[in-house]
Amino acid sequence: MPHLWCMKKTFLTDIISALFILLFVYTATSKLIEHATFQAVLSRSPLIGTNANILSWVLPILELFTTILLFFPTTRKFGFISSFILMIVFTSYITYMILFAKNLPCSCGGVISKMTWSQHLIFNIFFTGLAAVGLSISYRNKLFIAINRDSRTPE
Amino acid sequence: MKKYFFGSIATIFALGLSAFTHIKEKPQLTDLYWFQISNQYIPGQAIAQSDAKFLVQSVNPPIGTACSGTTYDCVAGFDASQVNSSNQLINDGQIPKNVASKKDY
Repeated sequence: MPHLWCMKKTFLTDIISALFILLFVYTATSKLIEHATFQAVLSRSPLIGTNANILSWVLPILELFTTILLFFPTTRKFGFISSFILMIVFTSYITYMILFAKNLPCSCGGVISKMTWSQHLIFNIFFTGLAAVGLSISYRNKLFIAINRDSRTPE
Repeated sequence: MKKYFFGSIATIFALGLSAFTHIKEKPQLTDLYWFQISNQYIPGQAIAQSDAKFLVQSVNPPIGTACSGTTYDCVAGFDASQVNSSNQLINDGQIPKNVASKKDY
């Protein structure tokens, strides 16, 4: 029974990491393909302004790096940590934009930029929750292995 | 190899999607009101009424002045609902229906 539960958890982390890989590869490549536009949009943001040039490169690179971490099962936990942090940062940025600069377009990649700010906020909250679930499962899996190892030590 | 299955599928799917997203859209064959845009507006941003100078109403966009870049809107088209009887934008919140040319300054 614990073996079945462990398999289910592994399957769930596989699915969650695949969803994040899909999201990050898609948005990062879209940002890099339309880099000039992405940089121009960022430069109009009251929060980013003069750092737009650096951020327009750092963000897609960070997303692709997170994708690599999520791809390999051994580094997946760090991938979930990175995804969670990225999603928290993006969600905070969107919240700020909704409150203070709603008239500016979104600096996101691909079809995601077609969403309204409110739709984007819901989308990001969903993915932040998903990253939290993935992270939680990764930690619990480690704990499960540790308990098993302890149970095998001779008394 | 099985453990990389979902990740590989997701990567291939994402790359495919991003490739499809950037296929150039066909120009609209509808009558638009074309304006020369001053100041720096990025695609998707609402244009202020004072920064849009009416050029022509036509299916095909005009060339515009000093439009030779890739970043900011230079000649933008608006539909009839966005323009008043004096050929001005109705307010400061109108987003172009089509951007015919861009500029870098």
